[in-house]
Amino acid sequence: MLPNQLVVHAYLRRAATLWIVVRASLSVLFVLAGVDALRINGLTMVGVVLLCGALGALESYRHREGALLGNLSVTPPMLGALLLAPALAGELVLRLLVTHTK
Amino acid sequence: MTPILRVECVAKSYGGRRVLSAASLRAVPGEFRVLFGRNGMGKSTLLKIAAGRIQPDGGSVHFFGETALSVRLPALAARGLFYLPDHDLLSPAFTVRQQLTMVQRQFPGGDILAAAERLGLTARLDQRPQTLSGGERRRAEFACALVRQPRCLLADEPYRGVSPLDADVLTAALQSLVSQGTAVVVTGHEVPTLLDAADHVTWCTDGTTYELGPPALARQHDMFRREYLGMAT
Repeated sequence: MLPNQLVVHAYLRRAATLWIVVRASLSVLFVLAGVDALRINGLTMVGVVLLCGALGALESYRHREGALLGNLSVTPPMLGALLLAPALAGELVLRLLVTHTK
Repeated sequence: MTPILRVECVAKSYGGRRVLSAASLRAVPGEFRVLFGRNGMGKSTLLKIAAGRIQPDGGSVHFFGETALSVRLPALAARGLFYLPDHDLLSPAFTVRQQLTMVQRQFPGGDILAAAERLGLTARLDQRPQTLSGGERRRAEFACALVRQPRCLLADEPYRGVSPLDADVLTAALQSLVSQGTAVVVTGHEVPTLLDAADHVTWCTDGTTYELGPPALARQHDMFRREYLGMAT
């Protein structure tokens, strides 16, 4: 059973906000380290996506949402997908933009 | 009537400490069952196993006659189970209305406004749970259950920290679900309230469970009176 739109939107919105905050914070660190924050390599990109997913899961754990999500029939893999999707999409869009503005 | 949920002879240990050795539980449609037991005797563990929140070390769980080797709450919820944990169910990240709507959209049929009105929450729908009192949070959780209209409700200490008046509201909500055919199992220590409302009493002690039957019979059970109610026989 797939989660309804309201659940999907709520968790996608949370994950997207988290990605923006994480990406902005990391970009500052990259700049300070003399690295082009928009041209990160594939491995770093995967790391950013996984970091966002882990922080999203931590946020859900902090709010003790396990029982609520279980009652809504949302499985851990579904939640994982919702938490990873915005970060993955955001990173891919950034990569596309950088590639096309060369 | 045939139980909708059967937990058979489950065992569970935490870090070498055996909490349950051979405990069983049944949820029967249209029946209000109460699970009593002293603190640390494994009531919450048994309910968590029944709800698929944790996996037992041994024994089995049958839902709708199907035996699952590894039951999980999302799968059971899709088939009609609703679980109220012994901590807050609702997330502080969303308003009560948003969470009730999530339940309604996932499992259509329930009426949010009717549930809120029944539980005296109409004016609180647009607040986040952390801004509500403990009693209001419990009522909001019950509103979720009413909106869900589950076939089986497992509620772990739903009366914790509520006033007698709120307890009456919660009991009325549980009884309305029971009258619609929901199988209800509740744990708690509110002996007079629960014995008045229940159809059947199960006692969890020393890692196992005893089916004591209707409250009138349970009240006469020597061991239960002596070791749980603390009454002289």
